[in-house]
This record gives sequence, C-alpha cells and structure tokens, in this order.
Amino acid sequence: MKRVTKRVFAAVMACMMACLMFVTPVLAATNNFSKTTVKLNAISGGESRYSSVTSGSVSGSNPSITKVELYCNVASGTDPYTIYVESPKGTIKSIAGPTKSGNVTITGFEGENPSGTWTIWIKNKGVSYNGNIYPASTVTITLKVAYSY
Amino acid sequence: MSKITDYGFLFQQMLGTKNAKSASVIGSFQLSQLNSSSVQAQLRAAGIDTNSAQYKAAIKEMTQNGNGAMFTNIQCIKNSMKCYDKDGDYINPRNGLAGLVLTDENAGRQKRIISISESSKDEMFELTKKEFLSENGVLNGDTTKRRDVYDNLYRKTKKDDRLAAGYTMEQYERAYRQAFISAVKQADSNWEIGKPIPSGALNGITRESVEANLKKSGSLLTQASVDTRI
Repeated sequence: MKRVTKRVFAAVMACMMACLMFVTPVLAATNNFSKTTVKLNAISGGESRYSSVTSGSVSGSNPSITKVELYCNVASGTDPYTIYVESPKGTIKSIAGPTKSGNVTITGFEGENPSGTWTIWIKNKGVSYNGNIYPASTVTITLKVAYSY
Repeated sequence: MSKITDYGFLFQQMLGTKNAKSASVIGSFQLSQLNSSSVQAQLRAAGIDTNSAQYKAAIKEMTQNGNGAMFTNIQCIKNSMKCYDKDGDYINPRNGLAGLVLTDENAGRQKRIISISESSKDEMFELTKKEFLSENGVLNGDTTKRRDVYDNLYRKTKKDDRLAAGYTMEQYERAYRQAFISAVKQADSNWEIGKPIPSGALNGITRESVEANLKKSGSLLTQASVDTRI
C-alpha cells in the first residue's frame, strides 16, 4: 500500500513537472491599452464626426487582440444610436449603443494586430421615443483593447 | 408625361385631421405607420425610392429596436440612407469605402487567403521594414502608417473581397515582421525588441524570400522555414 502511494505521488509530481516545462512557455503574456474619444454627437439619422485614438507602443513580437471593450458615457435623454469601431486594419464592427452608461464588449477583432489608429464614431438611428423632430445622441467612449503577445 | 404626387398629407396636417396618435410633431410619424398609404405618399413625394437597398438598410437600422411606437421623419430617413451605398452596404465615413463591416453573416467569408495586389504587398513589406528599423522592432501605434497601406489595398479590391483581402494582408504583414525578427536575432543572438538593430541585419531579406517560405495552411499563411542567410 505504501509503495502504491509512493508511485502515485511520483506520477503526480512527474505530471506537474511536465506541465511546468511544456505548458508554461505556451501561456502568452498579456497587455492592454485604453483610450477615450472626444464627445460624439449625432442627430437626425446622421453620423457624428469620427474620433481617432492610437494604441501607443504595443508589446511583443506578434501581438494579437484578445478582447475589445467599450465604456460608454451616455448623455441623459440620448436617442437610439449605433456605435462603429474601426480597427487599425480597417475592419469595422457596429453595435447598438447602450441607452445608459456602462461597458459593452465588442467581438470580431480577435486575432488582429492592435497596433495603430482606431477610429470610433456613432450614427443616430433617426428615431425618437417622443416625436422629436431632431433625434439626437451624445456619448463619450473609452476603448479598451486587451491583447496577448 | 406629368408626374402626379399626392400631397394629401400636407392638407391633413394643416386641417389637423391626420391621426393625432401617429404624428406628434409635423412631419414625424411612428415606425408602425411606415407602410401606410399616407406615409408612403410622403416618402414618394420626398423623392425616396422605397424599393432601394439604401432605404431598406436605413429602415432595418431604425426598426432594430423592434419598437413600432418610436417616431421618425423624412429628413432622418434621408440622412440615414446617405450612409449606405446602392447595395445597402454601410459606407465608412472616414475613407468612403463600403464592404468592411464585419457581421455575423460575412464573418465566415473574412478568414480566407485570397490573391491580393502585388503592389500592396510591396508597400506593406517596405513600410514594415522601415518602421521596424526606425523603431528598433517596437510596434509604435502612434506613428505607424499601416492603416494607409490597408486603405490603399481596399481601394484596389472589389467590395466583396475587401474583408478577406485585409485578413490576407495581415498574414503577410506578420510574416514580414517575423522574418525581420529572425534575421536580427541571427545577426545578434542577444538582441531584444527595442535594442538597436545591428547595421545591415535586414539587407538579405526580400519580400520574395519571405513569401517563398510561406505555405497556406487552412486559413493561415505559415512559415515553412526562415532563410536569413546574408
């Protein structure tokens, strides 16, 4: 019985050593950057001006986006709008903007190189809850990009 | 042939006989009224082609919230339509290009390797090399001009292939960078990103030599081996 326990213990230790040797180097380091746009205003179904933010220096030899998150600071009474995010490579993702301030995660950029200029703008949907003839949306967005390298 | 336009809605508004529930402000109507003959007449009178892809794209966005009680008006529809091309594809206001919005429908078509312009690959290779040397291998997102290369590529690519072209170009861009890193490490095994690059370390690297070592593996371009001999 004692010998069996010893063998199991040795096997577990061997597995742990193997994990340390082979798995740990595969785990990539991670980093992120966070940038805030100017205040974005859009009215009557039109677009806001676009706001460009840059990533700053990006770590590593082969960085790859793992997550893109937006914090939206929404002005009270904002009418429905769509958020557009353009990556440095030019891929655009759009999502319906939240009506209250908070975080939203935006998918689709995973695997891209995060280095360069990101562009963000909004488009007012052209609809209002109360019959405003000029539906308007105002929001300031903080872009947070996480990446592995 | 004379054009007959129904301006009945204007009289209805002037006389106050229009359904008060569906119009709160002159010119506004509820989304649920979009298909009514009165609103359709207004749209036609305003020169809006309700069969166009632009109109359909604009209305699709407006009704996304699924709330027919919301209000809109002619000017909002017109403004919204301007954001789409004749096929109903969204136009990037920064560069005027359509076909670059990633959706659930086209996500599968994006990740594929396609043939892209040789001049764009050349442009990317030269830019990657120039920035690699000037920044000592650091990716400086504040100064890089990589977006310009992608924009130029998209202008040369037909709309439906632009997402795949961008994906393919990024594979090449990574391969060029990896080849530069390998070459510098070969010249100086202690080199790390950010340290000065030994003079002439990249002299033997050409676009052709990098691409000759690339092989297509599914939706990726992988490097078979890197030949960094000088």
